[in-house]
Formats: sequence, structure tokens, C-alpha cells
Amino acid sequence: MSYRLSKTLACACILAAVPSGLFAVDGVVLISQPGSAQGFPIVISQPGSYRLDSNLVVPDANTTAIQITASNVNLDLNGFGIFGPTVCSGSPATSCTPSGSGTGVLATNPPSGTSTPGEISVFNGTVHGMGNFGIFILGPGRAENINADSNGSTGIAVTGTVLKCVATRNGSLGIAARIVNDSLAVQNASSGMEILASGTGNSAILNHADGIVVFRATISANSAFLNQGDGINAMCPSIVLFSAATHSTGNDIVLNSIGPDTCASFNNASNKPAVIITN
Amino acid sequence: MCSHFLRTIALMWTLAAASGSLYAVDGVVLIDQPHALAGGITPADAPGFPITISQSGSYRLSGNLTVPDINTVAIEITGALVTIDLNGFSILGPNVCTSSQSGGVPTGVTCTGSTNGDGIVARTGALAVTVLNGVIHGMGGNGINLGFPGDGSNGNVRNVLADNNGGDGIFTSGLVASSIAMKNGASGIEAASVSNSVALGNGQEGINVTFGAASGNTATGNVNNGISSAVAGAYNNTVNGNGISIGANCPSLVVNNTEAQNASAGVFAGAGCLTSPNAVGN
Repeated sequence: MSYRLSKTLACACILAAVPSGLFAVDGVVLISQPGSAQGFPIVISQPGSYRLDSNLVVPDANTTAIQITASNVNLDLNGFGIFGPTVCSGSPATSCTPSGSGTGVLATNPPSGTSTPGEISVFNGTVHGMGNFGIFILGPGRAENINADSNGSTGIAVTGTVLKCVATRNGSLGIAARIVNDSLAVQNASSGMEILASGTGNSAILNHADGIVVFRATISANSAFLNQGDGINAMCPSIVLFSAATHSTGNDIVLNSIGPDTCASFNNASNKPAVIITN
Repeated sequence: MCSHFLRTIALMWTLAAASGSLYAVDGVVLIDQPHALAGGITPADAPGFPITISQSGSYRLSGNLTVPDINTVAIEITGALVTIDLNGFSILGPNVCTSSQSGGVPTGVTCTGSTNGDGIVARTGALAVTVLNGVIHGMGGNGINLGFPGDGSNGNVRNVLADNNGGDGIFTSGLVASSIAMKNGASGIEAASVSNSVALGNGQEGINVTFGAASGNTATGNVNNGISSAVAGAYNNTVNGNGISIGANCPSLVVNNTEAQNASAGVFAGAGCLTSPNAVGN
């Protein structure tokens, strides 16, 4: 197959998968609300740069808005939002209705049959009211400058990095990722954040369970206030430093030693003394 | 005759400009002065100021906005899920603020007036508002007003310069990042969390964080606290030449900051604060 033909077929594939696929003047593929004949999910099956040029509104809680099946995809929400019908109630949230299987941006990188995953980045917008996750990226991924609120499950779940995001009143966790920096989780129905590698400059406020859960990770300069479980809950080995936790319903700082694995905790502030639990 | 002719030409230009598309090629709603005066940017938007944004979506300035007096709001938001990209442009008002000092200590900031004329204000119903990339200068009220810090309404600000406003430079419920607030009549920045920002010569606090954190900021020449932490954290900040250094309502965490040449040390009210190590040379 010639290069020209393969390029043509690739282009045709993009246009079919992204029904409203128009190109911006800078070559980025534009995505807008699909017509009734095309419907959701909008599937991005080719690497490239994509940008919303309108809000996307899904009809029910079981509908996924955007499904990414390729690697090396940049998706700029461009200040727009992806909206579903789910409403989470309570302060903090305690229930979300209707719940469903629909996710705002769903990426299962790497696609099946490939061995070299590339990064999927989603940035600059809002995901609100989806029946399931707000954003779910499996594999190398990045969510940056995202507001995720009132989604039926976790607001932002990324196996890579979350930067400068805000997760408010989601039905499960606010944010779950390996690296979380400069982000905020408020009034979520479960814990505010789960951090699996490192976290800096985050705050978790008034979440229904723990503020920040640390799984064998290092966190610094984080704050947890008014959470209804523990403030900072670390599974050892972890390092917790220069962080503050107070006004927690449970303990402010908990270090869970598991067998020989212990935690290091330095220069933290809390209203209650740190609690070390040996398992 | 001549002035009538010029007014007619100006009106024609305004109408012609306002009749252009409201939408950028990427679907974002564009806002400039002619469209502001014409109204209709959203269904609830009447001609003139304030521009009322009643629908969720993405909005972008395509020119500066200039309000006629310090009592006028430039943009009010009544809908949820709104992003306003100032796109490098400015919202401009006529307010002028002048700072005073005595013996090198900042003593006050006096503005032409202090009113409710905010640059961008979130009204009831606004939720998850983001403002970024531009300047708010010379408003009678706050430069940006997106709700009480930590109230969960999720107002966020990035890459904004707010100066010479009669109230706060930036007052918001969520995050402020990479922004500058200088010579505002009240505080520079009040938010849940503030990172990598600068507060310079404001009339009250430089930076005030509530239920969040201040990290990586510089606060200089503010009349009251350079940084004030209300049950929050303050880490890795530089706080120089303010009336008061870093203060906190405890429990708060105030560590790894550099404090120098502030007129007085901060007050820590209540119990449970951690206040060392810091490099202090007041």
C-alpha cells in the first residue's frame, strides 16, 4: 500500500470516528456535539491533536462521551464541558443519581494488540454529571486543568499524572493517580485523593472518607481539612512531609506499617498526634 | 456637525463590528467591546455592561473591555460551568490606587473608590468557573470575584494580572495559580489555594488562603500580612517587606518560608500550628 493511500485511509478513519471532524486553521481536529445519526461515543482511533469546539451533552447516564482507542492523543477541551445528567447530593456528596456506565473521557491505552503505549493527555475543561467516571485513562496519561464534578464514580482516574485539577462532589474518589500535583478535592463521596507515587501542593477538604490516601508514595506540602475519615492515610512504605491535616473526624495523620514496611513522617502539622498502626 | 459626523461613524463602526460572528473557528464565543455594547452574548445579556453569561460554555475575549465608571461590572456569570479566556486582553476600569508608606513600611493603599463594580463576578447559580490569561485593571470592586474560599463552588484562576482594583485583586473559592495581584485596595489574592503567584503592595493581606495551601508565592510590600493562613498551609513562600509577616489561624502549617524585613512578626491564633523551620530575618 502506498504511503499516500495509507494516509488517505487514515484520514478517512478519523473523519468516520469523529463525526463532526473539522480541522481548525492550525490542523487540530475539531470535535462538536454529534448529530443524532452519528451519536455517542465519539471515538478517537488515531494519534493526533483534538479540540472541542462546543459542549458535549450526553443523553443519559449510560452514555460515554469520548472514547480514545489510540495512543499519543492530545484532547483539548478548550474551556468547554462534557455534561451528563447525574447529580450528586449532600455536603459532602453521599449519593449520585442516576448512576450508570457512561464516562466523560474513556481511554484504555495501550490499545489491545499493541505493546508501546504513548501518552494520552486531556486538558482545559470540565466534566460534569457523567454516570460513571469523569475521566478514566489507563496507561500513560495526563489530566491537566480539569474540573470534574458531580460524576457518579471517581472524578479523575489516571494511571499517570494529574496536574492543577479540581474534583468536587463526585460519587466516589475525587482524584486517583500515580502523581498528583497542585490539585484540589472537595466534598467527594469517598476519599478526596488516592496518590500512588508522589503528590505535592494538593488540598483535600470536607470529603466523606479520608482526605488523602497515600499508597507507597511520597507526598509533600499537602493539606487535608475537615475530612470525615482520616486526614492523611498512608500505606507504608511512604514518606509524608511538610503537610498539614486537621479537623478530621478520624485521625489527622495515620501511618499504616505493613510487616517490615514503615513510613517516614517529618515536619507535618496536625491537631491530633500522628497515629502509627502496625499490621 | 463634525462631532455629529464622528459619532455617526463611531456608531456605524460599532454596529458593523458587533454584527460580526460571535463564534471563533473553534466554537468559542468571542467577546469584545462592540459585542458587549450590542448585547445578546447569551440570551440573558442586555446591551451594555455588565455582560451577562447565563449559559455554560467557553468564552474568549477578542479585544479589551472598558467600563465607563467604577460602579460598573464588566462580566457577571449566572450559569454553571463557564470558562473565560481573557486571551491576553484586558478588562479596564478607571480606578487608580496609590500606595503609601512610612519609614519603608507600607501603611495603606488609597483608590479613587471602592464599590461593587467587579471585573468578573460569579452570581448565584455560577459553579465551576475558570478565568485565565489576561489583565483586570482599575475596577471599582474586586478584579475577580468567584465565591468564598473553600465554599465548594469551584472558581479557579490562572495566569491573571489584577491591579488597581478597589477591592481584592482576586477573590475566589478554588485555586489561583501563576497570577499577580498588585496595588489593589483590599487584599491581593484570597482563595482556597494559591501557588506560584505574586502579591505586591496591596492594601490588606497579600495572599489569604482558607482550607487550602499557599506554596511557591512571593508577597512583598503589603499593608497587613504578606501571607495569611486560615486553617491552611503556607510552604516555600518568600515574604518580604510587609506590614506583618505570615500569620495563621491554627491549626495551620507554616514551614520552609523565607521571611525578611517585615515590620512585625505574624500572629498565630489558637493551637496546633507548626511554624518551623522558616528562614526569618524580620
